[in-house]
Parts: sequence; structure tokens; C-alpha cells
Amino acid sequence: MTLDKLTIGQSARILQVAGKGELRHHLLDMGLTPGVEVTLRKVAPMGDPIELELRGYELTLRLDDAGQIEVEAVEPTPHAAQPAGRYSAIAHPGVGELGRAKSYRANKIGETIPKGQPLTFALVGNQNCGKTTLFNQLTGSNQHVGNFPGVTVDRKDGVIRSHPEATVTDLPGIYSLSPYSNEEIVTRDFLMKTHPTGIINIVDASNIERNLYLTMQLMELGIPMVLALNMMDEVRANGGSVRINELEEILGIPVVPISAAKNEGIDELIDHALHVARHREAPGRIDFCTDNGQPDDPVSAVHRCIHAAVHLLEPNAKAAGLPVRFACTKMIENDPLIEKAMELTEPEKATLGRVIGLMEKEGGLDREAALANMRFAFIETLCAKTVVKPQESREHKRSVAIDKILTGRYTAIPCFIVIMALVFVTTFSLIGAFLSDLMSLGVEAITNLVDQGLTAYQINPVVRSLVVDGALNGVGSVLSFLPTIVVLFFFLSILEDTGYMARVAFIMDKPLRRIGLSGRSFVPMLIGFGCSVPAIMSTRTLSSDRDRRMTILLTPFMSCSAKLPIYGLLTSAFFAPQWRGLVMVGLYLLGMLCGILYAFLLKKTIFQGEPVPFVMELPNYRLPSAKSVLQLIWDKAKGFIQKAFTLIFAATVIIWFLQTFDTRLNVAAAADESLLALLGGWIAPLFAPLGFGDWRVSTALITGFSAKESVVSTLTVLLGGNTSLLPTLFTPFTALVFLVFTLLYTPCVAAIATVRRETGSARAAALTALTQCAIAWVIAFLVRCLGSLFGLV
Amino acid sequence: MNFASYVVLAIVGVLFVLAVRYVLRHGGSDCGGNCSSCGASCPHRGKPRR
Repeated sequence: MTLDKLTIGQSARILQVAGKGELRHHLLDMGLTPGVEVTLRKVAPMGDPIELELRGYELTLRLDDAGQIEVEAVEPTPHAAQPAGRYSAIAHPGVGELGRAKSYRANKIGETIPKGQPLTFALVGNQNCGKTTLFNQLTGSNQHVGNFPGVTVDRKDGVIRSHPEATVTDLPGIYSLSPYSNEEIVTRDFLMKTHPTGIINIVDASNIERNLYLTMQLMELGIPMVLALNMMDEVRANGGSVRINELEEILGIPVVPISAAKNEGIDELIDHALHVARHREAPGRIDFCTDNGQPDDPVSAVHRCIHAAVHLLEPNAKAAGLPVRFACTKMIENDPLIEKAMELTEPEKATLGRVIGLMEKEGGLDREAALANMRFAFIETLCAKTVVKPQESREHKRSVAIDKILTGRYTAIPCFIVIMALVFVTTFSLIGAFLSDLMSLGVEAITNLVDQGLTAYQINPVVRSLVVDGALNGVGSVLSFLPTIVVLFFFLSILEDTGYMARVAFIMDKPLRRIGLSGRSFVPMLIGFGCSVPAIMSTRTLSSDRDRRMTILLTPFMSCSAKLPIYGLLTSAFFAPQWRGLVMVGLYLLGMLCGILYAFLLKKTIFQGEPVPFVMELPNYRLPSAKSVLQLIWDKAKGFIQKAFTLIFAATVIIWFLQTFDTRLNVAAAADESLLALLGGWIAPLFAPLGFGDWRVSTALITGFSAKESVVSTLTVLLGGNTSLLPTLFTPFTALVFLVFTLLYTPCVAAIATVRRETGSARAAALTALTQCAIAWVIAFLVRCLGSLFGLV
Repeated sequence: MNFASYVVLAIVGVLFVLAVRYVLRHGGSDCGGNCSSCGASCPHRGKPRR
């Protein structure tokens, strides 16, 4: 039978993993190897994807992909803790410590680096193992910690605290050093081309089997390395433990138990990392397979194959500047990037092919499965000797209980709608709105004070107008929306940090596949409700270029927080309080609906093809770190205020100038004689069919290209600081049409610049801007026509 | 225009120049507070943070 035929709670043993390419390789890297036992734990509300338990962790998989895996049903193996008192402790080997473990000095790969000379470290680990938390502890800087796999999409650098000579680079979370995803290639390139002096490999001790898969590959690189066993506090609290001395003895690298969240063990980790890097002590073991003499044993077959390959390919690896063992195992795994670098001759390729063919024949597994099987076999043996498995952790039990509701078949979607509705209602109608009103009062008080001061000092009226009508009113009108934006980001951050975003991707995978995307695309789009720039950049987590480009094109349909001031201004001017929230939610839903329709169009035209496979880990729910959330809010508030006092301020002064002076640079007698009226007048006829053909409105829309908040500041300035004059520009219905247009028209210049950078194409960026404007115009026109039909115009 | 007006105008002018300079240097891009995904545009990228 195949894996997709399992029922909830049923266990099976994997017989064969069919298929080929990136997906199959990824499935093997995640531990879905022949012989492993899996249990079906959950099915998404719409029947797809499924969640499996294997090797002590949970993994999601689509039914189509599960159908490629052949299994046989088995009775579940009960988790049994090893009986206490059965083993004798060994002395601490002292790897990575001065004056001890002298045997490891044999692994020196170079001269000792003098104290004070620069040291560079790579921080490498799986997604969701606390890597960014450790980075924060090592460097003392602050980074956002997201609980959804793939939030960290790029490297970050920092200086290790109290060691100014030591720099650590936080690399993307990866599961393997295979060449398929951008994150894996970025990490490999960093490790092999920039030659860091040391590696800090962080491993989640509560999920040690899967994490050690990457550790083995890192050790093959021959770079001085230390293993940080994170979340040891959780392991201990749940009755588990790890025999550190034995683990260190077997692996031949320093093993340091830590809790990054609680800042435990960090100093010891730093000491060991600095030692192995400075003294150039490479890992004591890079060989993970043995030959037990059995001709048909798959691990023995791999052992013979690897050693034959090393003898054959050592000169090529050295010529290419690659670690020999690493290069050979990757050649056996059919790594195209390593193959290209090794430049084998035809006879060498033929010989290697025969060696690999022999391994496959003897072991009964293909080359990829054979290597994965070898690594996991070593890990299983290692864990049997050194790991006392904990009982099911409290965190896991809690997550299972919560998931019964949040991902239940009949409760998942309603819960999601309720949660998102709560977020938006709280942001727009309750807390956010209340705080924004307070902020407006404060800004108004300051403006009046400054105005009185300028009058008292008999400042020239034009200069006074520049300060009050231009700078203060313009910037102030945008600043008053700061609380709303901060509240929105607060909630999005909570959802991300608790782990709920991962569940959302799991739930949304099937409906997103209907529009040609995977559940992974949902998170960038959700982030787009905050800001398009990080949303577009977080599409780097999508391994498929097709999915990335399509998600980038759809992100502008998710109304970003910068548009909130526009919505806020017009809804408060034209709609009764009880309708404002509804109008806001309606705009967001309209944006999503337009995005869905656009996605269908893209799927049928330029983005034909299947979405990327959905293989993802669902982490346990965690309480969000207050420090992390508060830091995020502070960063967002700081960024917004910086933008208000720089970009918005500059734009406001320019707008004021264009509005105040005419073509001869005299003070314009009337507003419609100004330079701005001239510019706005050129494009105003475009908006006449939509019901807002006034030059002031079209001018405001132009400035919205620099920053969406500028629409509000420009309108305010052009109305002489008196927004109660908005009814001279709009009726309630044309205000709604205007809102629809601003919802959908081009993103700001920062977002367009990000599109250009992420797609590598200025043409794509320009097309995005123009297409969005066209869509906005058409949809706004349709809304106006509908209004005409119902007599609302 | 009196002297105070010139002073106020000069202050606004200097602030305007500083704002434009900042925007040109930093691209006017708002990272949205999500530091983990703004590596490519962050001015501190590649430099050790203290």
C-alpha cells in the first residue's frame, strides 16, 4: 500500500520512496527513508495535506506526494525510555578545551591563530531549532524570532559579545547540504567559499535525530566545529537527557548543552567555539559508516563505495578546493553543482558510475536512498547510546490539544476567520482607533502651539504656511495612524511567534493549490497585510521560482498597513462609526478576491505548471517571547516614524512648494493656478470616469507612489489643512470608489524596487506597477457602474 | 521677511536636505519591522553589529 492510504493513528514502515528530483531528495533528507516507522497524526480540514509523525517529530506532506511512498502497515512501536543505571559514565573527553583531549590535536588543519586575530563563525542549524535566539544571545543584538519555518531568509552578521575579534554569521535554517533550495545553496557557498574559521552547529535536543543529519554533513567539511545542544531545559523537564561525554567521544567535536532562550551554557559554547577555531581543530570523525562484512548490508555497501570514491576523486576534490569526503559523498548523491566543480574525465565518470552501480546492487537501495539510510543508521546507533528519550513533552501534548481545535476538520476555517476578524476589528475599531484618536489630538495640539508661536514672532505668512500647512499638517496626518499600524503588527507577530502561521499554511495548502500556489505562499501574503516589502522578500523561502514570482505578483493585492491612513481618513469622513469597520474589512476582502481572480488568470496563462511540493515541519506551539514582540513593535514604530520625518516630510515640502507657487515662481493667487494643479490637471481626466476627476485627488494619488501615507498628507495639504473639506472632492459613494482604487493601484516605490530586486527584472517591476494601476482602474470603474445601477452615484 | 522668518526658512531647508539625503541613502524602504526578511536592503548588512 502507499502512504496516502493510511488512516489517522495508523502506523506503517516505509518500503520504498519512489519519484525523483528535489522532492524525493528532500523526503529522504527529512528522514523518510526505507525502514523507518511513520504514524499518520492528522489530516488538514479539506482532506489534504496530512501530518505524519516520524523520528520524534511531525512533518506535513501532500497526499499526491505520500502516494509515491510504498509502505506496509505495522503495529506502532511504543516509546520506551531506557532503564536507568544500565550504563557507566565515561570521563569528559575535553574536546575543544585547552590542556585536555590532546589526541584531538592530531586533527589540526593549520597553525594556531594568534589571539586578537579575526575569527569568523557560521551559525548553522535546522529551521526552528532556536538559531536566531542563539544568535541574539551570542551577539547581544536583537532579531525577530519567527516560529514558522523559513522566516529567516537571509544571513545576518554580528560580533560575539566580549570578543570583538569574533564575528558570527546567522545562515538560513536548512535540513541538509543538498543543492536544491536557495537556503541550502547559500549556506554551502558560504561554508565552502568564504572559509569561516569555525562552525557553530545548533541542534534541537528535543528533536535530535533529524537535526544530526545536517551535523554529519557539516562534519564532512572538515571545518573546526562545535555542537550546541539547544532546548536542553525542555528535554530535562520531560524526563529525557543526553550523555554529553559519550556524544562528544563518538563525534569528536565539542558538545555543549545550552538553552538559548534562558541564556544557559552560552559562555561555555563561546569558549569552546573560540578554542577549536583558534587552534584549528577539525572534527575528530568524518567517517560514519562501517563494513560489517555482510555483502548485502546497505550501510556496508555505502562504506565501500565512499572509500572507493575517495581514492578515485581525491585529486579532483583538492584541485577544486573542496573537502574530499564531502565532495565524494555529494558525487555519490548525484549533486550537479559538485559534479560541475569536480570536472571529471569520461573514464573517471565511468569508473565512479560502476562503483555506485555496485553499491546500489549490493545494498538494494538507489544512491540517494543509500546515503540517507547510512546517515540515519549512524544517527540511530548514536542516539541509542547517548540519548535518553523524553516522554511526550508537555509542549507537544499542549500543541496536540490546541490543534484539535485550530486544525480540526470542522473547526479550522471558522477559527481562522474568527482569529483574523478579531485581529482586524481590534486594530481598526477598538484599540487601534482609540489610540489613533489620542495621537491626532496630540498632533493637533502641537500644531496649534507652533502656529501660535510663529504668529507671535510675526513670521512671514508663506513661511508660516510652509511650516504649519506643509510640514506639520502633512507629517502629523500620517503620524496619527502610527498606533493602528503598530497594533496590526503586534497581532501579526503574535500569530507568527506562537506557531499558528505554520498551521495556517497547513490548512490553506489545498485551497491555494487551486490557484496554483502552495500553503507556503500564504505566509508572505499574510505578511503583506503589514508591509509589501518584507512580504515580497520573504518569498525567498519558496524554493520554486515559479511560486516565488507568482506570489510576488499577488502580494500587492493584500492591502498593506500604509494604506490604513487613507482608509481611516475617508471612512471617518464619509461613513457612520458603525459602518467603518465593515468598510475596512470589505476592502481587505475585495483585495483578496481580486488577488484570487488574478491568480486564476496567471495560472492559466504565464504560470502554468504545478506548485512546489509541500513538505513542512509543524513546530510545537510556544508562548511568544515578550521581548521579541516588543522589539518588533519598537522596530516598526521606529521605522514608521523615520519614514514620516524623512520621506513623508520631504514629499510634503515638495507638495507644498508645487501647491503654493505658480509657473513663474510667484505665490499662486488661487490653488488651481499652482504648479501642482498643472501637473495634477494633466492626469485628472483619467479619473473623471471614476467620479473623482479633481486635480487634487489625482495629485494625491501620484504622491502615493512614493509612500501610500503621502496620499493623506497631500490631500490634507491641498485642502489647506482642513480635512472637513473632503466632501468637496468626493461623495460617500465616490469616496468608496476612491478607496477601491487606492486598495488596488500600484504599490509604493519601495515595494516596486523590492520586486525589481527579487525578480532581477526592471521590466517585471514596471509591469507590476502598470498592471496594478490598470486593474485598480477597471475594478473601481466596475464598482462605480454598479453604484450607478443602484442609483448610488 | 523679518530675520526670524529667514531663520525658520533656513531650519526647514536644512531639515529638507537632511531628509532627502536620508531617503537617497536608504532608498525610502520601510522594512516593516521584520528584520529577519530585510537582509538585502538593510544598511547594516554585512557589517558586524555592536
